[in-house]
Amino acid sequence: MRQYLAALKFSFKEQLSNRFAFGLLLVFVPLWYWVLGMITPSDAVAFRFRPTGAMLQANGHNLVLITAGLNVLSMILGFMFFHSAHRSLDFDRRLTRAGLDRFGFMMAKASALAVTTGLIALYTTAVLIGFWHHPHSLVELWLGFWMLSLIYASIGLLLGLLVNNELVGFFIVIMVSMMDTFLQNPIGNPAANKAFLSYLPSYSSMQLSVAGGFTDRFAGSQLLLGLAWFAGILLVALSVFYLRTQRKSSVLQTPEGATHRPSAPAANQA
Amino acid sequence: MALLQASDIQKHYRHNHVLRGVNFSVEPGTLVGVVGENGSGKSTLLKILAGELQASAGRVTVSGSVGYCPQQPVVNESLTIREHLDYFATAYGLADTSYGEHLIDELHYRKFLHERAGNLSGGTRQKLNLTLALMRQPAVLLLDEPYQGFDWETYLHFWDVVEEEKRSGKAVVVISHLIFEQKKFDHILHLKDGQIKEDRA
Repeated sequence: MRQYLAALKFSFKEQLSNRFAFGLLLVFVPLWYWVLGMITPSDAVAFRFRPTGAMLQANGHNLVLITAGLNVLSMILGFMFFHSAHRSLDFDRRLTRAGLDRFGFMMAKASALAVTTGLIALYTTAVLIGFWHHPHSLVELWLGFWMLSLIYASIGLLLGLLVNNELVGFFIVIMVSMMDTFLQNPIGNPAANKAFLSYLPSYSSMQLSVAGGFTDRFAGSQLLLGLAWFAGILLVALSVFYLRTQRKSSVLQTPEGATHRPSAPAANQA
Repeated sequence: MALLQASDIQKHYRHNHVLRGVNFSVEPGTLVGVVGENGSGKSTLLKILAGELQASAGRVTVSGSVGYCPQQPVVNESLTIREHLDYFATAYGLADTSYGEHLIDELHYRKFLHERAGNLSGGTRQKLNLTLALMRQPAVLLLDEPYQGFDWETYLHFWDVVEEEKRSGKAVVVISHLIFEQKKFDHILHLKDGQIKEDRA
């Protein structure tokens, strides 16, 4: 428990020290809402609402604010968690070598990710109120933003553990985010109501946010779908973390003596 | 009885044979230097001894715990020196950070205790890197050119710390490039062509 709490505390500290990401949030969240809101008229736009199967006639200005929020969250959180995972991998490995329990460490990282994304999604929802005064359910809108934040933070974490080149990682985050969130937007993409979009990571978040913005219906199935995306990607990311912090040889430490065979038996035979 | 024993350590990457059967042992209270040209496999050998890298063949026997100080500082830029000590004390399962703080005093960098590692000079980061390896007081110390970036005074303090560790019965292995410091070692292992060519007492 002591190790979990220490890892949780320092994981938070690590995220909060990313001043550049917080600067981006402070500047670009309101800016993106303002720019996209300003250029998009309030004309009704048809949006396929999956929980009922019906076509919603949504206010185009308000709909584009949702896609703006999702777009900016996916990029900044993807970048933020990619950056921290990429930079701290060697340090995390050193900590696990020192004896930090890997399972507790992973739980601490997941907890820090969940809380950080929840707070950032809350901030993004709060700023949205300045541009859209009366969405139906702010809680559901926040849940949609949070789901997307969880998914993209996990994608960032996974890429940070897999991709060695920082620039390559940033480009992957940006390209995936752009393609995913742009395709969900019926104003920018005339084919936004096609069924294949339901296989993209931000689909459930978009549906949940639209439910919160325009209807009184709680889209529980979309919440579960979003959670499944998050859980799946996080599980892969944590598995990669587990493997990448694994000792390269089996070490048995006893007061009398420890023997580690640095070579695998198969390698010896070869 | 040796605290560290390396038997027939081999390492190859495809057709590049970095280590071709390295054998040596280190007794308690002994300081061993590993020397050799660039690319001779010194850091690879130390990583294998520390369990950081898997060898292609061979066996390492260690009595007790190992402290490994990598060549490049492995620290977290967003945490302060104080937080590093607390984090590693928790990981090592230490009751307090008193020995880590003793090392900070020995290496003279207490004034940076509440500075984030990202704001430290290269030399101070290296001091922190060394402190993290030594603070649990392991039986075997593996130090890969641990004084890079040290000024002369700190360099001398470093050897005082190593002497202290040696006197307390630890087995210390240091990778060295500097000829003038070779008289400090009890044994010098000269690594060449992936093998120990010379074992001088």
